[in-house]
Amino acid sequence: MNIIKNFINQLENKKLILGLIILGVVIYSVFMILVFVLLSKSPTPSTPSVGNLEQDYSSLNELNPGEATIEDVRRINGEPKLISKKGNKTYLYYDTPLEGFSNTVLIENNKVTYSIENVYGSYRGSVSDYKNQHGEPDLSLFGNNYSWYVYLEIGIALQNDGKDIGTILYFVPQSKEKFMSTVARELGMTETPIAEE
Amino acid sequence: MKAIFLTVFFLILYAFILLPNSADAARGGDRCYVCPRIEGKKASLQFRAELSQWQCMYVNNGVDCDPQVCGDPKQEATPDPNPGGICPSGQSCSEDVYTGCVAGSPGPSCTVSSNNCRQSSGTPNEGGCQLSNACTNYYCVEYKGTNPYEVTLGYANSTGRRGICEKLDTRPPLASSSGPGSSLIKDSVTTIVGTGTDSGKINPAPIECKTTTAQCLKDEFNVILQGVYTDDERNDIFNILAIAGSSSKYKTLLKSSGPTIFDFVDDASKGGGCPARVQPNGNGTSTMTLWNYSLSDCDRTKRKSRVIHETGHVLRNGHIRLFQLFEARAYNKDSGCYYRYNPSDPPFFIKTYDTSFAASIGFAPSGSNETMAEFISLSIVPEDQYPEKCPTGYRWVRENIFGI
Repeated sequence: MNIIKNFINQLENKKLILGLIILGVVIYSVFMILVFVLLSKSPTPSTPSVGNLEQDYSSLNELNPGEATIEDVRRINGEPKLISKKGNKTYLYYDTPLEGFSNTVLIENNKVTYSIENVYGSYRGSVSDYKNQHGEPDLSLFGNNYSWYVYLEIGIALQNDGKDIGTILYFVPQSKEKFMSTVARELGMTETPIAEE
Repeated sequence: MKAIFLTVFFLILYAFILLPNSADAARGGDRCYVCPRIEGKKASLQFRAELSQWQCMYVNNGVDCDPQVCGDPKQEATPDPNPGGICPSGQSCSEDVYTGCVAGSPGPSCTVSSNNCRQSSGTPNEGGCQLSNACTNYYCVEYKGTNPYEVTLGYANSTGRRGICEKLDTRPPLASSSGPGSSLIKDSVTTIVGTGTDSGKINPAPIECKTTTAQCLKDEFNVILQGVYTDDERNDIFNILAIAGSSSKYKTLLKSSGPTIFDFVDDASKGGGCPARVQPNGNGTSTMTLWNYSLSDCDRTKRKSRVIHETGHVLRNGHIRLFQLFEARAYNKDSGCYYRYNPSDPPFFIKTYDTSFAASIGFAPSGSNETMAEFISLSIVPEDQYPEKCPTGYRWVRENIFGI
């Protein structure tokens, strides 16, 4: 009788072990499938629609240069379309509603150095709005032959045609000397315009 | 039993730790990426989210700018088979050293002179395009309309003109100081915007001046003349603007870009042929300089073409939104209409625009800016079936500049 009982016990243990193995394999397989599915999905870049150009499509104005990290940029403005690295600089590029135009965020030491936002409507205000609120700009430079009005203390520069704002640069507030030798130099802003033939 | 649980445990650990790490490696991590060497360019690395791939981006040596702005993406980066190894440059192979991390031998080089050439063969120092086995079919050419003509040393020396190096399938005919290569823009006397097969012609409603021409220029176009000019030249400017200004949209755009200064300057060093330029004043307004307007080779057609071209820059400077739309929706859309100022790099210019004057004074013109100005000018003074040959840009300018 004991021999029969032991045999049944052993049989039950083997079933148990077999069951455990099968369960483990199933759990592992399901887990692996989930892992592969998740890994194969790259983050979806934020792509604004081309529809209404008067619509505010970007949140770069909500970032604080000098404080915001790359994670903050991704959280607030979404996944970039492109990431580019140059030395210790990381550039994040975002699509905009107009083909060929991209918004740029420069990250250094995991902090936003500056961001450039293309503006296609009046949702960020006009040149006169800024002048009414902040006075005359600290600097008036040229870039791509449009004026850049630079407000050093609030860390904002506006590329404009005297009325409308085409691009806004958000940067860490800084002195004129530092701005001219770093940001202005990198972005090709000059104190004198270049003629068009 | 223990062995089974340990196996399962390690398998799960593998899935948790090792797999995500290999994915990181595919996106960069500490892997070594090697950008193939391209003569005269330096590489940087960019991650394309939509492709989940790293790619090499190239900019010209000596250029210090955002690679996305002035870069030229060529191909995907190749992950080094030995992550953490040493780059050929001797630098440690981490993701931060890709600019110095180039692999392989340079191979046969193909250095092409960018512009201002005087002949097809010979090195750039000799004014040539440096043809070699690695860069065949480059010719020093100048365009007349859509047709390229090969610039030779004799032609360059006798005319003082310079060409650009372009890759062409066949050798173009020689430019000749008496042949078609030297033909000037014909005065078609066509002054109606939208001439051609399009049905939406505007009616040229002549703008009459009932006071003085100077006052009419101010009132109608917000234009102020300065410098040395004759009554005839002042009347000539008014008549030219009145042609384009028969489109009320053009007139409104020009007026709202002003006040615009037209400055007449006599300067022998600038030569003939109505050289001109526009400089922004900083608040959306512009100053147009017209050199040697009184010279005999600044004929009626050239004046008309040049002045209206320059007003294109004035309009652009005063209307940033308009220019954004041109760049996005009209510029460089009809590939056959454009050529590259530098054969290996953007920007692109409409083929009727001659970059040789700018090149001769060491000035790098803007492709989109000059092209928009050309479209506006060609809409008044067509040339070799331009602007109709570029339907996208032509349509856009008709609608957005001339309101047709």
